[in-house]
Amino acid sequence: MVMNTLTTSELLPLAPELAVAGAALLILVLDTFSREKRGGVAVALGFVGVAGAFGATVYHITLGTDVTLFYETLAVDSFALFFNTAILVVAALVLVSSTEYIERFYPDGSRNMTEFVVLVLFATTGMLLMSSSRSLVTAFVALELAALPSYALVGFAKKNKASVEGSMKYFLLGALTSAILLYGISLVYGTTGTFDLNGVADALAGAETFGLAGFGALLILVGFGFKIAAFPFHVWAPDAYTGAPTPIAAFLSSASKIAGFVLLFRVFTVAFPTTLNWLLAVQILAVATMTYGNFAAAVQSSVKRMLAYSSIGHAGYVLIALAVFAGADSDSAFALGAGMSHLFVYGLMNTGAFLVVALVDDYWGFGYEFKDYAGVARQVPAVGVAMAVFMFSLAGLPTGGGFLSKLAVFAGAVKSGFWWLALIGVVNSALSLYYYTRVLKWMWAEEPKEDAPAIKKKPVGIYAAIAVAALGTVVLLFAFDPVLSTATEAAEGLLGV
Amino acid sequence: MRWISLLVVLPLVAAVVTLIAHRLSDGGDTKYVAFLTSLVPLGVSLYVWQVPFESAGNALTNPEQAQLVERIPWFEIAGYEVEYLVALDGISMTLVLLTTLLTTTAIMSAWSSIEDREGAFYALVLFLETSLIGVFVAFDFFVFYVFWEAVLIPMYFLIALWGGERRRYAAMKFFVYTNIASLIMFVGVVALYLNANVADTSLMSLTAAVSEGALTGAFGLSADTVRLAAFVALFVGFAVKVPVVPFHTWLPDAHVQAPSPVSVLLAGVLLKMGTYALLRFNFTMLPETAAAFALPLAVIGVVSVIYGALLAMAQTDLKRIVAYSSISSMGYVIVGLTAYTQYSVGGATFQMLSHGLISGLMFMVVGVVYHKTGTREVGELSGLIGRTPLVAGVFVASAFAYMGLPGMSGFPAELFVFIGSMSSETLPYATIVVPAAMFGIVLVAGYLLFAMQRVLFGEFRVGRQRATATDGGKSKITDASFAEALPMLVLLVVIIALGIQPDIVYDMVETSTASLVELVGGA
Repeated sequence: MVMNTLTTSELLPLAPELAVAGAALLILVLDTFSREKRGGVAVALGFVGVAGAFGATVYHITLGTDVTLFYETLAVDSFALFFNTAILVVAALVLVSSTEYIERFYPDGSRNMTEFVVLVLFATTGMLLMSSSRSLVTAFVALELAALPSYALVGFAKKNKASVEGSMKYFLLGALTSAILLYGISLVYGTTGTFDLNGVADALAGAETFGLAGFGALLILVGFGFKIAAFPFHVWAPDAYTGAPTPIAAFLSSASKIAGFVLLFRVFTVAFPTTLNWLLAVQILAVATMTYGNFAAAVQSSVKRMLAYSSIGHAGYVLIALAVFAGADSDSAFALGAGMSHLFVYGLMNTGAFLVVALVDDYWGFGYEFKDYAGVARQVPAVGVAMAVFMFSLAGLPTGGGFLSKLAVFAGAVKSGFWWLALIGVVNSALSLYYYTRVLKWMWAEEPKEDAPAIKKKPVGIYAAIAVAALGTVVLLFAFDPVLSTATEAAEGLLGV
Repeated sequence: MRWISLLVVLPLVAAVVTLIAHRLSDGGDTKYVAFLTSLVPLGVSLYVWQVPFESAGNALTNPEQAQLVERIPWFEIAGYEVEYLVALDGISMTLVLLTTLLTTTAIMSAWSSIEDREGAFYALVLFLETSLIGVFVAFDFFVFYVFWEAVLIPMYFLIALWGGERRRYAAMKFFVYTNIASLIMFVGVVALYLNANVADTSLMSLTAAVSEGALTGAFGLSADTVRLAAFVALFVGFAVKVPVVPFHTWLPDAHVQAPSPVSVLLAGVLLKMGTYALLRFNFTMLPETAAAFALPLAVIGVVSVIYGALLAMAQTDLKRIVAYSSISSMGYVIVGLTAYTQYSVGGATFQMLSHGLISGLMFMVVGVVYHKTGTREVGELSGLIGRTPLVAGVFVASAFAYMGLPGMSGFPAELFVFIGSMSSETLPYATIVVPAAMFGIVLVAGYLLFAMQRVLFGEFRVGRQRATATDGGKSKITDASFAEALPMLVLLVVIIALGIQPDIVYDMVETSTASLVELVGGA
């Protein structure tokens, strides 16, 4: 193998990843040489890095970039770029809201703000690489790059028991599933002799028996199922989300989940032919995940846990997009594109909802329970309205992009002939309105409690992030077409339709 | 000029203006601002009705007859073009007028009863108006569905925040119940689109495709089965909104808990969404299925009429009586629709308008009585006529209007349905079914008169105790104020005007409903 030197033309498509990672390294270097710890500088630099990466991603989308790099281990194509925009938007929202949150909720941690920002940036880099990976090994490395900082971030409030417990659970289960994933990869490698996704597909295309590769694919599904918190691999999620600093819960339940889905989509549609019978597993996963997520969300007494289970439910809806896969045809591409567009909208509305929780629960100190939210919207109507936008949109009422993206997912399922999956989705979606509305009922319709804390400060960063997320959610109702068509084209590009 | 979009947007602008005014004036002038700004959409709707709008026919069966059409591409999904498509025809125009008139009068009737968080209250009422107008002008299914669901949100908050004791329970029940119904309806319509071989999601295309027999079977089901399943899904979805027995249980809760001005809109306009949608979807889009099942549907209507009436008779709360009587009246609309004759369908549509006005008026009267006396229990009220002659007069008038007294809008509405339905070709046993429904209406009206008599006449008394002294609490109970009287009188004038000359609106209604009769080959 001849070692080529890197050329600029090869680095240019990686500009988003380089911008984020570069910002992280720069922050680390500056931190080493500065006497005072300046969290503000770190956040500002991190935000610039993420914003630059976003700009570069959008630029590549307009260029229509479609290249493979580093001996075809990374692909910068419209599929990866689409997901990158969603991941970067979430990362930016989380960064903007973090400083004020950490200062208030975990004052000890504000000395370590640089570390916080750097960890978020490294995790983001990992997620961006996950969406570009087109080799099983790169995928695994990228996944670990995203996961390791995440474990640390969940336990960031290290004197808080819940935070440490969540982190511990997340880490232990994460390590276990990483091992399972790696085992799966090794089985696939053992059968096919290659890590390359297309190579795996080619090798399997000629083979007659699939036993070992099929088992490997199943184990890989488990690994990714952990990442997207699909039932029954979700057990870490509610505890990790509840224990983590809330912006990090938003980050994990949105960006990390999105990144997990890119890998899932890419690996399973490109590498594993449907003759491996993984479709049935994904269908079961989809039904179990959305139903379980919904029913569990309905019985929670804590708003944050409700959101945690709701995010599990949404993973179930998106799994439908893969569950109806039938090969390189336009119906499958549409279904996949629909799932991608739902992830995009979900990234905004879910992050927004978690940030409202960050504000009310922790920043203002109302508390975690539904009943602690009594009358909050009367004191701060703007936050109440934003929460209404997020909740209704998550429930699939036509007040935000969530309605159209869910509709697209179900339409995709019906188009591919899986009307029963769509029907289960619709029923779940109808039931979900109950627990989403419950938050609003407490926020708007109940009298404020006697001992409710007074709202003294309105944090600019958190407010701005919530406003952007709410506005984006509403705008996507009217401007959904570009998102869906971009996603569908990206999916067509991936499947080669 | 984009008249329809203007009509949809104006209440929203009014809502924003009201909110800003509430902030600036510290709440003092909010109600006046809300009232004045709500006059704008009312004025524009009257202008549109009189000047640019011409009633030519039914927008669904003859798309070229739709008036003031506006189209803007929205998005494309799974090969279907979705457009922002709004238009008007005689049926839509009638209900838009009902919406704008009732919103303005409801806002004025709220002046004295709503004191808490006025800015939000009026803004939500105006937002509700936007959504309601949207429902009646939308001719693309997705636009329709967006407005249809958007109605729930302001309604939920209006009940949950300003309602009575059990408001949160009632609001949640209303919300979840009607939303599940919406989803059933949604699945039904989508099933039609998927099998109808159309390029866009406009209601016109779907109507045309279905009537041309372009519907195909799917998933191993024949086209007829798909059509029947869709019909049932649509009927159930809309029946909850109407509401039809046995899907009515959300209504009394919502009505009793809602503040009176909201009840006015709930009974006056929201229930009409159900019958409007039944008319548009079940009876225009799927006429053959509707005609084939005319008898069972009419029986459901009759059961609603009678059962609603019996339930009304068992109530002692004035508001509950009016609420259950609405179930009765809406059942009558369904009977008219199933009969598929020129007068029965036209009359049913006219009944939507008429009942909207009359039930709105009744809820206003009940609201004023409650506001003045602090009770709505029939047993706790007596002899009001001596202290509140104006309220009593309006009460009597509205009860008569409800009965269908000649000279008031209820008369032509019920008469048209009755005459039209008797000569129906689709409805077997019409001579038994229709009089049975008529009987139910009379039953309610009779009971209303009875309740009215107990409340208004006799010795003056408020509360359980017989008033010992002649002036016990006398000074507290006054007649309706100007702001309470004016909206009631306006509605009463409109009711009487329509009773004397129904053609003011009926001509327009008939141009749009006449073509429905041809759908089933009737005359």
